[in-house]
Amino acid sequence: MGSISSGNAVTSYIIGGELLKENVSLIAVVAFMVAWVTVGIIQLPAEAGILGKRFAFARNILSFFLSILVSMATVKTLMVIQ
Amino acid sequence: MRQKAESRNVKKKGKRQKPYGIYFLCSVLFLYLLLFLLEPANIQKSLKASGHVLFQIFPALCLIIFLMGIVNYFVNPRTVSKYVGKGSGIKGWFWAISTGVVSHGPIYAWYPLLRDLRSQGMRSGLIAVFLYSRAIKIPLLPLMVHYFGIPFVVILTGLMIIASIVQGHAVEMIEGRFPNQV
Repeated sequence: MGSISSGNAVTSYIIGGELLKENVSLIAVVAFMVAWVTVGIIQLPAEAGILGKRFAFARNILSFFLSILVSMATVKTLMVIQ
Repeated sequence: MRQKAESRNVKKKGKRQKPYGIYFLCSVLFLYLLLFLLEPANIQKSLKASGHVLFQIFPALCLIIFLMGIVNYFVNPRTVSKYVGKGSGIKGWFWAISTGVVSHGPIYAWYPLLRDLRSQGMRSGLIAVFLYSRAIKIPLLPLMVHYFGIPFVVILTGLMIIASIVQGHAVEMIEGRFPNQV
């Protein structure tokens, strides 16, 4: 959902905060927020057209998987320090 | 035979690129005109929304066009290569992350400038780092702290910087492995 969404990062924080209140897991919320700002499916045609298809696809696919890894690492680190 | 193949290549290179941008613009204008005849009220709303978006991104667009002008006029490939080129080392990663963090405006507005910089020698990995680092918005951090707390924001920001470096290396590895595909 984060990957196909586009807009100001503030919106993702607000949606993320509301999702947490609805008991959605923190890992899912963080992945959503990170994907919102790092994956750009909407901008993909422009990115591919200007910076090259290989670059755009590689960057977006990597960002998608990195958003999952970053969210898992963030939550695990929080659990360790708290 | 060889001469024929070479002349064919020259012809291909000399061939003008199709103006896809113009085709796209014409088809959008045509669709707007068509829908205006069917749904004039909705088209007015749509034009207002488009105008609002244009108004919002206008300052960022001006800044980027200005920067592109500066880059094209003053910055030469040697300078680009020194700061964000192949031999830039850690300094290049630092520049890409810090400029990514402080950059503003919509991401797509930065693509032409990055293409220009790449044509002057900027590493593809550093372009990926720049685009990933844009996810860290310093002015928005207080709001994130409000929702998720300071430890969360500190950890997430640190991990995103690490992820941007990982992505930069991964993009360069992919580009190095498939050099002929565009």
